[in-house]
Amino acid sequence: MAQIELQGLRKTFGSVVAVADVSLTIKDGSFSVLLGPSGCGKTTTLNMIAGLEETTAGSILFDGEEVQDLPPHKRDIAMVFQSYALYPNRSVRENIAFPLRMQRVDKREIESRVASVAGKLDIGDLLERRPRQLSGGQQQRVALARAIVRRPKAFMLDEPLSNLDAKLRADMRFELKALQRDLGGTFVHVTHDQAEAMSLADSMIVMDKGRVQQEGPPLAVYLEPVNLFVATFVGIPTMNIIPGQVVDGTFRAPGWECSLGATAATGPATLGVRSEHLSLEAAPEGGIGRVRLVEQVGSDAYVDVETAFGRLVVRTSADTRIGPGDSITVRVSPGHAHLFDPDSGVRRPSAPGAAMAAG
Amino acid sequence: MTAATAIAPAISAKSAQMRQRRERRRRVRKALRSAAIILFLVWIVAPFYFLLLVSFQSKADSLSTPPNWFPIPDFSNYARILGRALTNAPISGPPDLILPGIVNSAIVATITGLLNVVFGSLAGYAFARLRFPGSRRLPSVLLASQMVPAFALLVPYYVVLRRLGLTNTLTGVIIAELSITLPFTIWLLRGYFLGIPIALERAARVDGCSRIQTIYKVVLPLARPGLIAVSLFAFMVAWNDFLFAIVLNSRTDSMLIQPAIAGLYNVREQSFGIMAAGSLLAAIPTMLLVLFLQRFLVRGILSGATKG
Repeated sequence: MAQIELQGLRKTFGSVVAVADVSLTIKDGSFSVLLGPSGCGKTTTLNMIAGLEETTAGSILFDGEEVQDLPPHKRDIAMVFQSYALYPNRSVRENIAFPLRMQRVDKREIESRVASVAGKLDIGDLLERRPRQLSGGQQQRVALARAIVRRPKAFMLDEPLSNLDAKLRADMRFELKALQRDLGGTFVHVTHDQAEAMSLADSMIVMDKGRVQQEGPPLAVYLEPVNLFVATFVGIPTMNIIPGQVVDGTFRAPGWECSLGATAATGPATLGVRSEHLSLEAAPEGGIGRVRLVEQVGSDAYVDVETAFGRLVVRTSADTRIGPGDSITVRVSPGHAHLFDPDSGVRRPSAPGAAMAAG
Repeated sequence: MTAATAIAPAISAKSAQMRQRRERRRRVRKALRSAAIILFLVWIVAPFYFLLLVSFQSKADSLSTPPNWFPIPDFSNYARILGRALTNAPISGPPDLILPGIVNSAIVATITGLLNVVFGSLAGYAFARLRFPGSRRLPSVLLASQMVPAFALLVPYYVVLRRLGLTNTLTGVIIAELSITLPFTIWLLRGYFLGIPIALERAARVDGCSRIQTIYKVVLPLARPGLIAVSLFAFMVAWNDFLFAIVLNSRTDSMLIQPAIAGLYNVREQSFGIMAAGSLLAAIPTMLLVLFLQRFLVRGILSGATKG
């Protein structure tokens, strides 16, 4: 297993910049997830680590050794693809054995390793089948088996779960995490699904426009997003964003305010608050807006409120009595308001212990 | 209640009638389709049958009008063509050139077919997957080159091959046949390779294959139907070619099959029977080849490779 370092990594296709400048350290034995919208450069970054894409500039180090000029087969990594990429003309057994055969591993050794991996992934009775005779979930397992059978330095996973149906995806997510813990390997996983990233990652790397926006444990990224992009990309439902002004330590939007504490800098600002950090109050008179829709998800209800400063989503208990058309006001729970610079989108340092209240 | 029970049988009778009518219409359509297929078959098979007929008739019978549709088989034409091979006598006339022509053409066509696979797959792969100056434009130029009529190239070929001392050799003809067939082969295989998911190649490269190993361990096995198709195409072109075969190679000892057949028409004792027998013999190798290879031309070899 290896620690992977990226230093000033850059990739351009003609005049298109896919990856602008990425510097990262992926710790040995960690499950790191590259998260971002499509076109953010996450897959290109993964392909560069794997050697499938040449770098335009920068270096890639495996355990301190530069590998950016090595072809993929000399980097000793394994990869699982979104489409699984199983060799259709080979049986499951041959698919799994293929990387070992390329390494000229002894025949008996291949046999025992294929059997053990197949047992681990519960595909032991599919070994003689062809990929087309397997379900999507089974193909996925074969692709995983082919990756882990060779005990590589690191595993690259390119959206491996996105072709599975929702139920299977949740199961596989769980299994993948267990597998990584079991193998103790360095996993680099690419996804655009923030829920998947949250649940899998030891370290979450949020990318946009070819740059790393934020890196850290998922919960830290969720609770303290460094900028508006991360704040709105991570978390479902999307964080509420309210444009307004800070005056005398109080954030003001049309018809609504929220005190932030005296240290907050005066001037235009954007307030971000997650739906679970807002609470609803019925306000027949002087409310900030009216309920448009109540979306039930079973465990909670999401209340969609139309206000003078835009749409707000508030998470509340499933048995809420509030219904469409009600006039309401909202309150921010203390310590959970995020202030962002309206121009750059960068988070402003929050004042410790600031009291939040709605007026 | 009573009204309803009275109506029910009437409805079912009506629907039975309709079903009958539909059944009749379906049968008529089926009969028409069968008739069309049979007509088409006759149209294709009749010339062959006529050829077969003539080849098994004596010279006198073959000239009779109307033709004798079910003659007593007469093997003299075949004996005349195949006879020399058995006795090892010197070549005494055009019929003796048929067998050597088949052998020579088999050599030329087989080598042309094989080299088409070798060069065509490498070049086709390069056009499909590598980026180099012209990698986008050249494929359409390849295709456009097919629009140049072969006879326009005849004289230049003759001059060049003559300079190289390759006229009247099988090598010279192979070079000419390659240059006619390869552009199309490359273009076709490029399209075939483009249809193979790139993720498979990436998987192979990560799994430990170098670029060239990726090609012959993963890409070529998946492109097998395409490779067989182009080798068949090149084989047929080389086998059926008359123009280059006769201009570039006119000596009797290296004569190819098509000029050899044409030579039969110049026989003083002009015999349709011998011409028919020679033509049939010349058609047998290609027919066998197609019969043998068509089961490898299976489709759907890629199913199950990737999802989504």
